[in-house]
Amino acid sequence: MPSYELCLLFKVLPRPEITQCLKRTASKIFETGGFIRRIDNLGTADTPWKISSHDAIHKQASYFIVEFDVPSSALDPFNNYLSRDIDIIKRTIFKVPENIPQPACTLHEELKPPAYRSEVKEMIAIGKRKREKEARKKVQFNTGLDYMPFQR
Amino acid sequence: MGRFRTNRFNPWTNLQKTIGQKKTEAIDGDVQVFKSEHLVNIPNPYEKEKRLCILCKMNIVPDYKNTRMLSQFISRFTGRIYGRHITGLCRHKQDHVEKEIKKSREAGLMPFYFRNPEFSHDPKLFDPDNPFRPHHY
Repeated sequence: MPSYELCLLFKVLPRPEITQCLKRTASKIFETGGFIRRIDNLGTADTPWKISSHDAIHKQASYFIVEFDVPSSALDPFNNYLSRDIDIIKRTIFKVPENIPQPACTLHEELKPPAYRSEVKEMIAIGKRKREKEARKKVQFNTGLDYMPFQR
Repeated sequence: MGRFRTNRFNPWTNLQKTIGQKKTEAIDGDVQVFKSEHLVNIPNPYEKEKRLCILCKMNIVPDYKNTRMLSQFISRFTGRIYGRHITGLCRHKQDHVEKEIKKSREAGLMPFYFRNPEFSHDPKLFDPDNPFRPHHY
């Protein structure tokens, strides 16, 4: 089961109703056979733009982040379920990236003058190969003459 | 008495010059002979210090929830993401930051067309007018 992150924007509601909404989504996750890793409350804040959902315009929302694991086949129905919940303004599900080691910084290499950069060297090599290929295609008569004997 | 020896080893001397001198000094016998290896095998004293981008130096992994950090990489007036030549990030980090900004906007955490006014006066990591590498326009 891959782990996902759900960014939920709820309507601004009193505390008991928010807990109801969270319980609803949580129980839906448990129904699908998944489990919740954690729930973060990012608080109530102004939305960056006017969001219209379920025939209402919202300028404020309570933000929640839910980290959960569900089978990937259950994700689509779950998203569909959330879309029909009228207390949810917006929801987005992201896959949590696995712990990939960060590659080493290449800034020093990138700040070199173009002629010393490996990517530029590569480009020059590609151009050189292309020119050589075209030169090979060109017909050489090998007559040993410095003029064209067969041209009129 | 090595301290008073007239021809002591000096790493800044011209290599060609010392080799030339060696022949004449060989007659004296007492003088220490320097091989060219000593001068050739030293690390380049003029090599520049390796530069790291700010996120690599501070060991920060950009995350879409950290909107305050991501807001530093977008224009305050147009909300556009600054390019690598301005931000001075390495290729990987720049790509990562751009991805996270897009994710954050998609999730409704960050605006598209401006920077959150709360973050207007955050410290500047770079100056768009003096980019790390010249603008392409």
